[in-house]
Amino acid sequence: MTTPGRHNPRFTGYDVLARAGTWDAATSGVVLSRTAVQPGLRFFTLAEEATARPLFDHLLAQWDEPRVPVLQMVDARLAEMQTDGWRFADMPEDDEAWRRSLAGLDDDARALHGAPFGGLARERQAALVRAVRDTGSARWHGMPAGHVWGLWTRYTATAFYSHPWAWNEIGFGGPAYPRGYVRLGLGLREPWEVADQHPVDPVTDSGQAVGSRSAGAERVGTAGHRAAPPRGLAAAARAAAGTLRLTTAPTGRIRDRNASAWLLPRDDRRFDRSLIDGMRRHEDDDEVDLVVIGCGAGGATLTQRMARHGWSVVCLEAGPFWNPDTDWVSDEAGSHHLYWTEPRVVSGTDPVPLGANNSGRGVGGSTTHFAGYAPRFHPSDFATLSGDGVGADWPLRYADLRASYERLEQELPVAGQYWPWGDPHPYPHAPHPVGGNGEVFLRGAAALGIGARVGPVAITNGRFGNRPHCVYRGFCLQGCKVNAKASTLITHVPDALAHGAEIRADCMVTGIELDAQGRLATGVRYLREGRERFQRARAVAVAGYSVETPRLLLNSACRRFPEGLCNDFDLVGRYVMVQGAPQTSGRFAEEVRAYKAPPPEVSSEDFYETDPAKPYKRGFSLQTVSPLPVVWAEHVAAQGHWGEDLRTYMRDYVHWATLGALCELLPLPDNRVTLSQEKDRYGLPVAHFSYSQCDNDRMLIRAAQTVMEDVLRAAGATEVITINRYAHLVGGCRMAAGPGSGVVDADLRTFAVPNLLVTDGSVLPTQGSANPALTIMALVDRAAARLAAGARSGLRAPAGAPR
Amino acid sequence: MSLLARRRGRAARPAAPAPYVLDRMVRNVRHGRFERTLSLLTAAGSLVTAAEIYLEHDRASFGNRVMWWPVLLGPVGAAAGVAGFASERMAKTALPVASAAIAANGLQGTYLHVRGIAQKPGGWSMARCNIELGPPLFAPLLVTMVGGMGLLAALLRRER
Repeated sequence: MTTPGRHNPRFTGYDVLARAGTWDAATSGVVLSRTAVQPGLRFFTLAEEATARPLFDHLLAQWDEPRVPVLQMVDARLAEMQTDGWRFADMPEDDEAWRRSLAGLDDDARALHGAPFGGLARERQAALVRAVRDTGSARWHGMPAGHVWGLWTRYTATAFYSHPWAWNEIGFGGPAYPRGYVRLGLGLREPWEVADQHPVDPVTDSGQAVGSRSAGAERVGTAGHRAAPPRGLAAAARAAAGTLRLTTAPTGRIRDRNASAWLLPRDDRRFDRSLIDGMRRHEDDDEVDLVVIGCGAGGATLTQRMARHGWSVVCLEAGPFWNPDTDWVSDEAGSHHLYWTEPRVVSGTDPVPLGANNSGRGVGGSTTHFAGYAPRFHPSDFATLSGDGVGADWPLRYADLRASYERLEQELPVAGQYWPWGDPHPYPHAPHPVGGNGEVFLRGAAALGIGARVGPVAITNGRFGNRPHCVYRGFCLQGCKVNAKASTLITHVPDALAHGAEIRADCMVTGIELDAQGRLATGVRYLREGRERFQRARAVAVAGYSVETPRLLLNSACRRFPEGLCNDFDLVGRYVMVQGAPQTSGRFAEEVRAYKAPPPEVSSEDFYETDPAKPYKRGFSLQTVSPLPVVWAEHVAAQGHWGEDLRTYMRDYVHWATLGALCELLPLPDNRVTLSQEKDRYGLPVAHFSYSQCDNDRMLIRAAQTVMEDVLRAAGATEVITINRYAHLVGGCRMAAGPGSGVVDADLRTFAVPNLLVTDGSVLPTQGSANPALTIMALVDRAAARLAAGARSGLRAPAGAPR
Repeated sequence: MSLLARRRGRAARPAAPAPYVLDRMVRNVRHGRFERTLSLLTAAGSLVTAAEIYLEHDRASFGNRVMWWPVLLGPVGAAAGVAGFASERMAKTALPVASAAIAANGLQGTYLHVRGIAQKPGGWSMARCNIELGPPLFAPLLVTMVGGMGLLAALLRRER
């Protein structure tokens, strides 16, 4: 029952550690080590410690014992360089930024009061800390103060709210595997959860009745909103018939083209290691039919498809071959290793932080920790230039992808209500039961007449092959330990291995080699166990996602392509897009407990298309997102709260519901990936990603925020807060009708090198307001069929051609 | 038994010992003459059960297509029950066959549900959680009960 400082807890008697017996071994190890005696400091010097200790106490209002050992936890992260990898162009690396900012704070103290920071009275310390926050975007000791503030709050809040004592204080359920949750919905608690003893909003002091619209709620953003999806008997009959068709079709047909779900173990293990042990292994000198770089959504799908077509395929993956049982944990702070954490630099007027929601590492790529939303793009997405005069037209149409969409929705499989938006279609699995967060969204949307549906999520709702039903544990974004949420690790890799593909993990590709004339690719250079090797191949497919794919092409410059491979027209790395993803949270008198049930639950595409009445083009979609404590702390800190304010908001965690928007931001040529001066540990230049919004982008994001605030207020929220952020990455090697406007054609083949393909999200010319994973996989599914249909010998490197 | 009592219909002249329908029914039950009523009950039970199973299995996406079997057996049981109500021959042939299939399907379902619970994360070591959240443990046995009703109907004597 320990809470930080033993302060009068709102959840009297609640002890998350009492449930530790129900946690899996890997998670217990990670979480319980935080309550154990902490090792001595390894990163901070004595002088830095003297400044850091009181600074952390101020940031988290930790004044009494027992304290969460934030200093030791931050120190361990920095000593082991467990950072997110990326940095702002105007900031040094995280470790150096910490040293300089602590020294800067100490200098301020000496300059103003003639004494070190650690020796000042608490009020004077607080004033100095507040001064840094209030400096805003201006520079402070050579760094933008806002970024320093972000660094401080990010590290300290992550450490604090990853500690079980803090969970006791906020009523969070903690790790939930293999147990999961049984009682989902507003105001419902597991038998062992404790009710909030003081459910009054500590900020507004409001105890308003729930269900009624809160005072002053006006329909600002939703006034006169666009056409609702079709209703009526005919539409209902179509929906029922379509769903019936999917649920009665024999699963054997899916198994015949992708048996992955049947190749997983039926017992408590999550991956059959004998598939890896028995994997076909190629020599470097074997000229394989295809080498795929990267094993994420695109790479794994291509590997599986081509292995099925009888090609010899080697897939090189920079990260490890995950074992979900031992490598993944039901814990936020313990899941950093799922992200790409190699160094990168971000800049521009709206720089995009990288990591959690736009990168991946290891077999399965970012699908291992994506939320699981799997919507299709709308037909209008494929021609935004001719339709709306913005963005770009795709070299293919929606109809070209429909069959691929259907195939993949069955293979993942996707669960959800009949989808009325875009091209209406049914889903093979039924919609999941909805938790508190989803109930809030449905209630608010109904009150405003906005269409909202449950789904579409790539999470099994019922048996699929040997994959079990979801247990609603809420840790989708930390890797699904249940095998219920789809990731290519379980949806395509097992079948690929069973059909003779080799997936070579821990191999970082450093370059693509062409023949002497620079006409055809001959293979790839890669690093394995510190040694450089070369894998010969007849065809090469790059699937490293929107930052690493352009970086690899640019790093593979040669005599024929001095500005980077396939970069004759200066298009590689350009038109990189992110989705504007503001998240708005609302405070409710009832307990929402958003951590129960998967974060992806309910979504709406009512605002997806261009509304002629609005000053902006294109639109956005709305989805539930359910931040766990560490991310929720980021939401609160983003409002400028710190110290006691932060703790007060956080103690209110179970009362907040959160919605997220995905806004279609337009492709702009100057939003691009280039090579930085900085080198990584392999000696290769790292990627520099510059991003700035245009006016249309800003209007869209503001509109989405207004709509989300309306929905939450209509559902009865007494207070709303919004954090501006980004999600997903696409573009960088876009597909186009000709070499002058894009890097690859509709078959994902590069214009410049006929046997080189790009098979990931970087080929998308626009990004819609849909999560991109399903579309990436659908494009690859189509490209794989086209590749297999072409004569394999057509791609063969000329016999005896020198490397 | 009086031959008169064998006559059907509401207009039947009241037999001396049983002037009321209720009396006749009681007498029929006492003498094991319950075939037609139980056939009809089996028919109704099959339909209701199948409808409920359809909703529950649809919620679980018919992930295993075997989950369609009890739904399809519902109308079969209903048809056999009605046939058994209408014709004695059917009550001795179609009804027991259909009922046996339904009862067996219930046992098969029990096995599959037990297996489903065992294959949930944690399996039987978290029995309470997995039984409550997993496939309903005892529901398929209710199907077996409906099949049992049909079998029993086939064994009974026909009403007079």
